Amino acid sequence: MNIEQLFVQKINSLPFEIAFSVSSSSSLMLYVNASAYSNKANAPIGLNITVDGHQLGQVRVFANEASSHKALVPLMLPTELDPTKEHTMKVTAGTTSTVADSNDTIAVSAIYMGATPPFVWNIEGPIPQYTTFKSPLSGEGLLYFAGSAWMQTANNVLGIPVVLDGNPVATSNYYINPANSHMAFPPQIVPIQLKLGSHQIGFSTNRPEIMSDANDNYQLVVFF
Amino acid sequence: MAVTQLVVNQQAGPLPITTQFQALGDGAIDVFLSGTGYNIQAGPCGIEMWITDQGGTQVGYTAAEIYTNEVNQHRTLLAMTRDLNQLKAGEMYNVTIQSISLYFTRTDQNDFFTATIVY
Repeated sequence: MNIEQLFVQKINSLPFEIAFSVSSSSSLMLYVNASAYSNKANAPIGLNITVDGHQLGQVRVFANEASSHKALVPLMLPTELDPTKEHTMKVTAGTTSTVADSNDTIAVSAIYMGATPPFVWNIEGPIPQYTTFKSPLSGEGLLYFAGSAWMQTANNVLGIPVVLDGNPVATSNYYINPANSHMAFPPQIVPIQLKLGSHQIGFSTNRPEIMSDANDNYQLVVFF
Repeated sequence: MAVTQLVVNQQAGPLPITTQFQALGDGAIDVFLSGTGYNIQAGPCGIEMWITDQGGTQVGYTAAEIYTNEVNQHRTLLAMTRDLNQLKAGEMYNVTIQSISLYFTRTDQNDFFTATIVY
């Protein structure tokens, strides 16, 4: 696996368009991380990510507050791109409430993968939720995860662990100030130990006050 | 499969955090820094990570930032991968993670930081 930072740009306004190139013909994921804000309270915001006319996905979060720049839940978006050609990414508002300005940034990297495709799991809340996957190897893999959550009480640390076969293998901890305000938690890229065969994996919470609902989205990727 | 190394793993603030790591491989590497922070004044909020060799020469830098409208509210920063200079396997490197000095960013024990090297 190889990683290449493609660009980091201020969005300035939507729609946003940028040309870029990749350096390998390997199957790849585009890691997309960005911010935006909502022009009204209690509305979903999101950015549609399109490359060469093909929509790859939407990075989004639920915005309880208006006019408050927010980190969107970053995603790994699978695609295939020709390294001999230039490509165009177009970023558009995914909802009518989504706005981006010169204080918003989009950062995109290419994750060039090996021969074994990763396990990718995208869900909407609420969590906890679990699924199964098959590891083709025993040894070290790489786990990426991201998502959002909220709490009914203000000023608390909450943690979102990824649980593998009943054991937490990584946690993203963060502090939420306002109550009832969805917030993307810091994404994590961490090594994990894998065993050949089928396993259960999923998202949990480390305290009962952590809330999530259908307005929260999550991604988990296991690279082998 | 890439080799990955957790240089800092969900370490609580406040910043700065300083540590060392021994490079596990040669060649082109990438670093991923994630965490949170808050501002005492509205504006860009961010942290940065410097990697230097034992002679003090910079071999890598990355940052994680977001614009914050709110004061004294912890915010998730945009975590991105960053290409670094080549490291030498077996050599020790110094890491410093700190608030970006130009910003009004602060961190405390309620902020957590992870830095991952991908070889």
